[in-house]
Amino acid sequence: MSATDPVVVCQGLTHVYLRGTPFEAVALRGVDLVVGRGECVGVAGPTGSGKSTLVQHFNGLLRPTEGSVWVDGVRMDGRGETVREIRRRVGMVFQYPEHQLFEETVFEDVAFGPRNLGLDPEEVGERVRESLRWVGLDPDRFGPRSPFSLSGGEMRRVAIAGVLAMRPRVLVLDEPTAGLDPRGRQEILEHVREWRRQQGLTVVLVSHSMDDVARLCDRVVVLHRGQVFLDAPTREAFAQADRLRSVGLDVPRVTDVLLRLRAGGLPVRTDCLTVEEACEEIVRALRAGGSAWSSSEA
Amino acid sequence: MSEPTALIEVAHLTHVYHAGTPHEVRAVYDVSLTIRPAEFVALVGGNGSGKSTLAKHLNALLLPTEGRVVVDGLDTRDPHALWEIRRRVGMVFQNPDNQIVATVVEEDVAFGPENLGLPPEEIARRVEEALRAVGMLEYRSREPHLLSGGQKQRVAIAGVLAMRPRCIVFDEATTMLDPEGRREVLDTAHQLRDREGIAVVHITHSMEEAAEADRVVALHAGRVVLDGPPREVFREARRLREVNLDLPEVARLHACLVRRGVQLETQALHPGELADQILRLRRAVV
Repeated sequence: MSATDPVVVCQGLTHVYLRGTPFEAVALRGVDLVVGRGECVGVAGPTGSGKSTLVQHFNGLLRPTEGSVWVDGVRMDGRGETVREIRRRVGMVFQYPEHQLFEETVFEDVAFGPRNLGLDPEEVGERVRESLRWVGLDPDRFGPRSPFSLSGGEMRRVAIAGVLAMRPRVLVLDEPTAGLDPRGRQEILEHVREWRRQQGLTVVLVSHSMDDVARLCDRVVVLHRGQVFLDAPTREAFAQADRLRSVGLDVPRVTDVLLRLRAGGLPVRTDCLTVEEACEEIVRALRAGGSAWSSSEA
Repeated sequence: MSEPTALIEVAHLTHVYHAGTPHEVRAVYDVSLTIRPAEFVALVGGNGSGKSTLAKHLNALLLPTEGRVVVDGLDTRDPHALWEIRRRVGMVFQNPDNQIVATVVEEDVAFGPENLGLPPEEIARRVEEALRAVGMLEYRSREPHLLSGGQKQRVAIAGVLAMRPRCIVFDEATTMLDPEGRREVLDTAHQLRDREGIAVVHITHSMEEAAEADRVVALHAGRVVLDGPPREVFREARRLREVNLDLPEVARLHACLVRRGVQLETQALHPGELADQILRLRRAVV
């Protein structure tokens, strides 16, 4: 998919902070990356590996020191007009986005972006209602409320609705489930899956949580010291537990169990991503072994 | 527990924010709880369940609206006991970037003991001990802002340790860290419990981290809904989901296998445990 219809392309992307000063720091070094339309790519890597620097190039918050970035066919050249166009196409949800809520009502907060686009009030209202529905909040019930009266999970979804109201083609989510309880986390992940299915949205998920990446992404890009350390389909990436662990990342717990079983001599596939899939695989392997392992088989 | 006496006794604690105003919120309701010396307790609950409110009572950052909290024999409502309570129960918070006050690591750790008015040589000794205990001694002269998140949290822990506490409350102290940082902080917490006998109250949304505690206390709508060893608490899958929580992934896999007729023994919570059980099962019948 990515080969035929690329939506974000980085070529030889290098970024140096505070160049020419004693504090100069190379954050990205010659990164080549293509994100295809409709794809969900997980960007992982330890703190300081360059993840945030990378995705800030996707919507023009940073400009390449060297190399180039194209978004939807538009080359990022730093001109105001290009930056505005790119920001409209790439929605960025930062960490703890609920800290950026500021309006008196949920409706007003979500309406802020579309209004700045100069849309007429009717269109703004329509977008706000639709975006709130996308994040699972009833616009009639939540629209008039103060964002600060909501739960943590609800506030975060309001903040995401504000980004969706810009109708981006690419959505970048930076640690979208950090600090949420298991239910809130589940809800966010389910919504992202839904937007992909319904709207063909392209998603870039920046996360430390390999469990989140396993549940959501087709592909994983691991950064390490500003370079691409691994770029592979999710299933293949998690089968390389030792490489991931060598840069301070984890594999999903389910993968961990499968790897231990395999090492212990039970021939299981190790590329299962969900609990259910792993469960079937273990049952299959036990059965294939032909041994009496359960009451029904005994 | 070998030591039966209570370190912290929470009795019928109720906390109401903005009492008597239209914004009145009852965050904790009639909670009774005992934390024993050297116990490792995970405090879990959905967003808004009252975890942080409860935790802030353990060192008198908040005072009960009703009921009482007694720390090591000291009632938190007694203003004269306030500083002694805060010395005995330290807190480490979520954001590694806003807990550090000094520009050099060892000065940051010395901040607490200096406020106790201890002699300089005693302060130096405590700072060194505390930094050694969290594995940060070699960073003593560094600037804190150049450290990783996990390292900053360990410096914050050292600052608490230098006060010689009996209990440390980690208020979502691992939430903002990467997997390596989380591991560093959790390992440090477990070591402090094992080696120094310090009680730990760890507030977390990670069921995996909770599974490593001696005891899991789950809150919902300000009340304790489950309280027991992880193996017992994580048997209550339905109840946990009702209160916005879940099972650790490994426990979910264990439950799925049992449903499919695989005869596993006790509830497994860690990847190694579950894998061993499955492999043993296979060996037994071969």
